[in-house]
Amino acid sequence: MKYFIFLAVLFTCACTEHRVLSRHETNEYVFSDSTNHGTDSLTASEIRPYREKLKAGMSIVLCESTAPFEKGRPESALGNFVSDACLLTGNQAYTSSGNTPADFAFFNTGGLRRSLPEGQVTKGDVFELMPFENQLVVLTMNGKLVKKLFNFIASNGGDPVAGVRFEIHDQRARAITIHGVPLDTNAVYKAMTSDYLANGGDRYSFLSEASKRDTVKLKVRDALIQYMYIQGKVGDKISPVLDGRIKNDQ
Amino acid sequence: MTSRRDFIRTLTGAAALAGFGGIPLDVLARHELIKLTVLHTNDVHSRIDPFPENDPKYPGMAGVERRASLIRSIRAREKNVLLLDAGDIFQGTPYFNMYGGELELKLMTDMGYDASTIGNHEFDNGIDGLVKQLPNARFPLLNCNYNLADSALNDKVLPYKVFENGGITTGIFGVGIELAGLVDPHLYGNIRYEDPLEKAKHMAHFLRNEKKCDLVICLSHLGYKYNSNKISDEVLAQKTSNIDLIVGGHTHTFLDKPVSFRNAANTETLVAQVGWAGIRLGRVDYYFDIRTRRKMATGTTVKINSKTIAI
Repeated sequence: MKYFIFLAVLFTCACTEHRVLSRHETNEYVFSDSTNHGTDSLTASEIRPYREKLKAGMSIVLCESTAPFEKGRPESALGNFVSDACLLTGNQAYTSSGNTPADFAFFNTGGLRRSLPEGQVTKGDVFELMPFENQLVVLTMNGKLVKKLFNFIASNGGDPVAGVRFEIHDQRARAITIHGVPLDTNAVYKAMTSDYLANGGDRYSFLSEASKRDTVKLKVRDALIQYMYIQGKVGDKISPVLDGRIKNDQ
Repeated sequence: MTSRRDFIRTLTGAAALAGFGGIPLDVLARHELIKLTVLHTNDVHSRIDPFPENDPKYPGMAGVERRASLIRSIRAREKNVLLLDAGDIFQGTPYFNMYGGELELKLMTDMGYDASTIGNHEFDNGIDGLVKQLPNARFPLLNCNYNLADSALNDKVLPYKVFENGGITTGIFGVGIELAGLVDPHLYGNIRYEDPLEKAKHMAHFLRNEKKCDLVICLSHLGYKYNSNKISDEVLAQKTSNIDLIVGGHTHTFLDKPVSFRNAANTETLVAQVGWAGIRLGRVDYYFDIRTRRKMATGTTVKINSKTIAI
């Protein structure tokens, strides 16, 4: 089956008051299905050996999903999934070396690089969602810094979080609860995030105020792969969830 | 074929771009015209294969094999073509995790890219990771506002390059986004960010007046626009003179056609950006009057899909 495209360059311009000049050049580009002439054979042969080597590892199906996961603000199915999975899997790795678990997790919306599809989710899909080599870290911070953090997230319009709920009012966070308990600005909390944000990436320079930083020996991407692999093994499908953890207060 | 109807609408819109410095076309038409076709991409992010068919947002779209084919078709029809990219070539698919950008640069070389610039993700494997891959690019990376003197990129990046196509002289330079707060500091090391606005003003003046360029193009990885007063293509276009076209990136903004701005000299500066991932190829055709050196432009974008290439 063939598909046609007409690429025309068209001049219509009434640049002077009384005279109009128009000129048309029409080119026709013909493309067909990818198996035929719609692709460039030289390029295809250059890509092939690279693709073949990738395919073996990346086409592994980790689990199935019941619907697509997409990113967005103030909360999103994709952001909720990533932060919930990282908090759970990250805490398993973190507590196995004798630490007390992180209370909540946060990430940046810009770090979610692709939607997850409905149906089979492959390892390659997760690499495209989270292509970076970022490591999970746990930051110890006082309640005042936690409040600053959520105010910052509120000023962004919301970002992926887990273990926490709040409302955005005038670009600030209010009614903040952590695991259902109101935020205590005199308490000390542990937050899981990526080393990219902990190093001040995406305007998070204030995270240098955290009193302690522990490295979790797990990449963000590997935490997601582990989580999905286990879901797949036990036969549970993953489903997009919106639970109002961040709400715009209007 | 609704796509064709959409296309005509897009073109009509493109023709409505006819600010074009108010050049009377009948004057242009009396003399010989030279046509220069500028093709552009940005933020391709290692998207070598098309998006999978089950992708919720871009099913089956993009792909280098199709882009190469499209570019080949355009080259067969157009004598004078410049093929440009506005950075973030790297990062986004396992091709980058596994091969570090080698294939991306090789394929851009094969397609005949004339120049690109440095996007923030070019540093994802550190400066050394970029330096290691540069031999695979037989086209320059252009940037004039990163001071590279104390980095391994020194002498490996050009501030600008001048091209000759069919008697038209085009000066191209590049500007990059502030790396602090965006890129992990240990990845970009001793690169010092300098004000892109001041550098661009200087560079555009130099290319227009010293190098006598008919066309001045800025490859920008600053981003199209922001709610804050952060420097962007929108600001750059209005606060400089002597830039004809800004080929932009970073914000992954899909512009159906170039946006026209009045620059500081009250002439026209176009800003183009085609989203990301190679979902679209941007196209701006310039027509130069060989005698007066005056010019006009039409712009459009071509979507690259699995089964059709539609407008």
